[in-house]
Amino acid sequence: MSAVGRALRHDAGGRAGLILILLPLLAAALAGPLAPGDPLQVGTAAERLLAPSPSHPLGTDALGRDVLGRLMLGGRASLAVGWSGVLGAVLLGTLVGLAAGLGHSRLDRALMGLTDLFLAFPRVFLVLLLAAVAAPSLALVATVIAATGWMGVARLVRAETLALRDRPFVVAARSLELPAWRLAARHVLPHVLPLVVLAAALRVGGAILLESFLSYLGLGAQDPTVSWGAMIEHGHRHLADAWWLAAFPGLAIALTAVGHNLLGDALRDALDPRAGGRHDSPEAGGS
Amino acid sequence: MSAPRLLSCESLRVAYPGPDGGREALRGVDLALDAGEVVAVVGPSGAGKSSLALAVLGLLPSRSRVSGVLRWRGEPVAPGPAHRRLLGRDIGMLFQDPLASLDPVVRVGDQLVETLRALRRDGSLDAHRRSRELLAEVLLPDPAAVARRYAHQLSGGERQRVALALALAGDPALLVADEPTTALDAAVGAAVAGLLGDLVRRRGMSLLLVTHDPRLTAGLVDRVLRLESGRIAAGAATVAVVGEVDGPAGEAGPCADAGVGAPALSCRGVEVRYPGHGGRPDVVAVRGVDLTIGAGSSLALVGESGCGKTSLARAVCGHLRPAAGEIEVGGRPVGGRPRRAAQMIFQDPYSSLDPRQTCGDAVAEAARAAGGTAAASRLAAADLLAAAGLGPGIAAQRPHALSGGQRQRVAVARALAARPVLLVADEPTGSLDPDAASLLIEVLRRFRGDTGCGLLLITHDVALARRTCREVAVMFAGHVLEVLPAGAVPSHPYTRRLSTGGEGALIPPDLAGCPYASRCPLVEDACRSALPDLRSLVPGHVSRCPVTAGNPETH
Amino acid sequence: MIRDLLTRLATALLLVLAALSLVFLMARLAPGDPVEMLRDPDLDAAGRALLRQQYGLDRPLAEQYVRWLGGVVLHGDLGRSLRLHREVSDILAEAVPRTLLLTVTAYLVHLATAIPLGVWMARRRGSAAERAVGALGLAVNSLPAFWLGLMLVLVFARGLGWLPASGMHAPDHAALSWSARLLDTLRHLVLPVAVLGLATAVGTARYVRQAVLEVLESEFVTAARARGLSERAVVWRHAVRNALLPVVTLVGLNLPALLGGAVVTETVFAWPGMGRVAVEALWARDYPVILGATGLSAVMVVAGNLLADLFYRVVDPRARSGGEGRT
Repeated sequence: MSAVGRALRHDAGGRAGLILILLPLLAAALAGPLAPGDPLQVGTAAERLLAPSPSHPLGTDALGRDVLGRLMLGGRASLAVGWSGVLGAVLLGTLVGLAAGLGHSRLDRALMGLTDLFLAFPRVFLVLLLAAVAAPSLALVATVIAATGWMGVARLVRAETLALRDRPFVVAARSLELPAWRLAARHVLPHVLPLVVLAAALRVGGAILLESFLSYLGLGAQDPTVSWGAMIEHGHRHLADAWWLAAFPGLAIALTAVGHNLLGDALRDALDPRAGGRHDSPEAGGS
Repeated sequence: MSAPRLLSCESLRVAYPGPDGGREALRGVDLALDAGEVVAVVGPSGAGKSSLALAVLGLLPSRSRVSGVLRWRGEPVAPGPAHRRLLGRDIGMLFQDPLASLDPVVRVGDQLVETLRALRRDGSLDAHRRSRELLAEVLLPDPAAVARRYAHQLSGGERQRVALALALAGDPALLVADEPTTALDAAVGAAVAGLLGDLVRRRGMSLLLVTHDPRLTAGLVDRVLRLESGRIAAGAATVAVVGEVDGPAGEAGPCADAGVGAPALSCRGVEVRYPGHGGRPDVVAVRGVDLTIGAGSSLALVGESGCGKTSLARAVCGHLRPAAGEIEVGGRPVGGRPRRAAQMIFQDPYSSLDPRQTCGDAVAEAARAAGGTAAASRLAAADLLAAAGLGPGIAAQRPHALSGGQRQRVAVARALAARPVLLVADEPTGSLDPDAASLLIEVLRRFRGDTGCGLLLITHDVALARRTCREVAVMFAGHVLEVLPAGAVPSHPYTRRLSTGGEGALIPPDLAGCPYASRCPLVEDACRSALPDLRSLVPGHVSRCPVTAGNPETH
Repeated sequence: MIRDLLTRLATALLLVLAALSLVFLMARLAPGDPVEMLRDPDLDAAGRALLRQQYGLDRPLAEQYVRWLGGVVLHGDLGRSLRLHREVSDILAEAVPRTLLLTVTAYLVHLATAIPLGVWMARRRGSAAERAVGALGLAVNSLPAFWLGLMLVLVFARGLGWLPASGMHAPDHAALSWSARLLDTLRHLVLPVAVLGLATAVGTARYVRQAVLEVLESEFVTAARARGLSERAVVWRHAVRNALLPVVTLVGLNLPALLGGAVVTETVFAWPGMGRVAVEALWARDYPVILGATGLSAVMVVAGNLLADLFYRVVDPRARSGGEGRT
C-alpha cells in the first residue's frame, strides 16, 4: 500500500493516470443524472446523425440517440469487464503459479506444460474460439479475458515462488511441515502480492482494449447495453457520413487505457527493487 | 632536473551518486609511476582499487563524478577525447574476467586484427601476421588455431593471454591490470603472473597491478601501495593471518550427555553434487562422509570455506538431496524435503525470519507445528523468548526492529519450539559482534541442556567448536579428515594447521589420495595414491592420517 | 547439438498435437453440436440432420476426436466448412499467404523502425526528445488498434482519397499489368501495415534501447574502449551486435501477438486473410473453420518459435556449442 502512495505522490505520470481513470469512472457512475436526455431512448427521425452541436456536444447516432450520454454510460461496460476480467486472470494465474512453485516437480512440469500450451496460441484466436461456444454477453467477455490471460501471471508468480522457496525463512517454515495451503498463504503470498497487484494494474489497459474489440465484433455488449466497442462498430457503418460516431468512443477507450497504463507504470517504478529499500537493517541497539 | 614521471595522479576523487547520497570510492589519492616501474595496489575489497584503475584509464561509468589531476609524462590530461587518445597506444588495460572483457560473438583473432588496425595509422602493417606474433608473445601454443576461436571456446588461462595480447597491441608504455589472476585457478594464475613479469622486463613497460592477493606479486613488484576506504594507507601491505590461536581445551561436553534412543544424526557415505553447467563437470562438495551424533550430543564440523560443511548441513536438513548415501535424523531417513526433526539456524540473521511475521507469531507457529493448541503455543513462545534473554516486548515486534544478535536468538527460540531431534547451526555467530556471539552461544547451550536435543555446529572457528561441543569433525575438500573429542590433541596435520592459524585453503585439492597431500609437510607416497581410511587412534578419535597415527605426539 | 535440435522438434510436435486437441475440446464446450449452432437461415431441421450425418457429428465424441485428429495429422484434412461447403484446408490455403504477406511486411517495417529508433533512444538517453518519443509510444500503444485503423481510413481514404479503404485488391486488379498490380497491392498494404507494424514500434524500440544501454555498460565494451577503438566502432560493431541478440528472441515472443494483431487488422480493413476468415466463421458459428484456423495459428506460432531459435543459434556462437565454455 505504501508503494501505491509513493507512486501517486512522486510520479506525475501516476497522478495523471489516476485522473484519467477517475474521469470515466465518475462519468459512468453519474451518467444517469448528468447525461443530456436519455441515451437509451431512440430519437425522432429529425434527430438522427446530427453533427456535434451545443445541444448534442458529441452528436447523435443513426437512431437519434445522444452520443455523449451513451459515451458516459459505455464506460461502465469497459471498466467493469476490464477490471473483473483481469481479476479473474490474476486469481487463476496466482493459484497456478503458487501450486507450480511449491508443489512437486511433476506438478510443476504439468502446470507449466499447460501454461505453455495456452501460450502457443495468439490470444485473439483463443478468445474467438471461446466466444463462439456461448451466447454473446459482457459476462462472456470477462470470462474469456480471464481464461486467456492467466498464463503470464502464472509464470511470474511461479518464478517468484521458486525464488522465495529457498529463502531461509521460507525453508524454516517448510521444515515445520505445515500444510501446503498454510505455507502458501502465510509465508509466500504476502511477498508475492505486490508483484501480483502490479501485474494486474498493467493488464487492465489491454483488457479494456480486448473488450472493446469483442464488443465491436458483436460478441460483448448487446443492445440495449451500451459499450464503446459496439458504438465504434455502429460508427464504422456510417464512417463516411458521421465521423463523430466512431471517433469519440475510440478516444474514450484510448484515454481510459492510457490512464491505466500510466498508473501501472508508476506502480512499477515505485516497486522497482533498484529504487532501493527492500532490505531490512538493524535499528535496535543492545543485544 | 629529473625527467617527468610517466604517470602521476594528484588528489584523485571518485564518487558514485546513489539514493542515499552515494558513495565516495576514492577520497584524494596521489599516485606516481616511473617508466619501467611495477607498482602493486592492494587492499580489502571495497577499498576503491578498481575505481583507481578505471580512473587512470578515464573509463569510469558516466554517472560517476571525478575530480583531481592526471598527468601523463608531465602534461595534464583533460578528461574526454584527450584521455581517450591515450588508450591502447600509451595505456593498456587487463581486466579481471577475460570472459566478460572479450566480445562473445567475434572471433578472437578478428578482435586482435581490428584493434591493430585501429591503433596503427600507417597502412603498411600486416595485421594478421602481427596478431599471430602477439599471440605467440603471450605464449599461446598454436596462434593460428586460437585466433579462429570464440572466447567461450578457450580456457580461462588462454582467454587471459588473449586479453593480454589485445592490451599490448598498441605497445603501451603502461599496463594497468585489475586483479588479472583472481578469476583463474591458482596454477594458471601463477603462470600468467610470471608471463606478466617477463613482458614487463622485455618491453620495459610499467605495470600498475591491482590485486587483493599480495603473495602473487612477490619478485615482480617494486613498490606496494595499500588502499583502504578510498585512501592510501601508510605502511606496506601485510599478509592477513587466518585462524586463531587455540584456547585451552574445553571440558568434555557442556551439553546434555547422550541419552537413550536413536542417534540424533547418522550419515553414511553421503555425497553431495552440484550439477555442472554447459559441459563443465559436476562440483562434488561432499565425498563419502560418515558421521554420527548420539542422541542429545553435540558435534562441531569445522573447515575452511569451500570444504563442503555447509553442503553437508543442507543435506542433513533436507534442503537438498544427496547424490549418494543415507542420512537419518532421530532414526528416520531424510529425503530431499525439510523436516521438523532437524531444525536449522541460518548464518544470515536478516533473512531467516519472515519480515512480515512478528517474532511471537514465528515462534508460536513452530510450537503449533510441533503439536500444540494455539493458546498453549503462544505461552510456549513467550517462555522461549524470555529464556533467550529477550524482553517481553519483543514478541510483538517484527524482525526489522531487532539487531542481528536478537534475531539469531529468536531463530534459536523458534527452532527449539519445533521440538527437533537435531539442531543444525550454520555459522550462527558469523555476522555477530563478539558480545552478541557469546550471548548466542550461551543461549544455545542453555536451551540444549533443557531440551536434550542434538547439535551440529558448522563453523570455521576451531576454538569456538572446542568450547561448545563434545566432538569436533574436520573437513577438507569434501572429506572428513579427522573426528576427535573436544579436549583431545589434534592428530591430522591439517587439523593442526587449522588450530594454529595456517594459510587459507585457496589451494585446489588433489582429486586422488589425501586432499591435503600437496601441502602436507609429512606427506608420503601412499597418501597421494589413495585416500587413507579413517583409523581409530583411541576410542572416540579417528583420523585419516596414517603417518601421525602411530605417534601422535612427536610431530 | 543435433540431439538438442531434435528434442526441440519433438517437443514442438507434441505441443502442436496438444494444441489441436485443446482446440477440439474447447469447440465442443458448447451445448449441442456445430450443426445446431450453425447460423444459416436456409437450413431446416431435416437439413441439419442430414448435415450432421454427412459430417459424422452423430458419432460419439471420442470417435470424432480420433477421426478429426487423424485426418489433420495424416492427411492435412481439417474438415469442411459447414457454411461454404468447401474444404477448410483449401479456404486456409488461400487465406494464409495473404496473412503472411501482411504480417511479414508489417514486421519488417516494425523492425526497420524500432531498431534504429531504439539505438537513437539509447544514445540520447534522458533527453527531452527521447522522453517525448516514449510518451508518444505509450499513447499510440493505448489506442484500440481497430479504431486506429478506422481513423486512418477516415483521414487517408475517405478524407484525402490517397489510399484505398479496405480489401487487398481493387476490383479491376486482375485486368492490370503486373507492375500496376504490384502497386495496387502495395497501396492496399499501406494502412494495414501502418496499424499492425508501426503502432507498437516504440515498445520494441524501448526494448532495444534497454538492451543497448545494458551492453554499453558491460565490461567488454569498456575493454574495447580501453584498447583504443573509436566510439563508433565500439557502438556499432560490438555493442549493437550483442544488443540485438535479445531482440532476436523477442521475435519468438512477438509471434502470437503479431498474428493476433493481424486478426484485428484484417477485420477492420477487410483483408482476406485467415483472421478475417476466422471472424466470419465466428459470426456464422462455422466450427470446422474456427477450429482449423485456431489450430493452424498455434502451429504457426510453434513453427515460428523454432525458426527463431534456429536463427538465434546462427547468430550467437555461444548457443551453438550448448552453453558456456571451459574453465
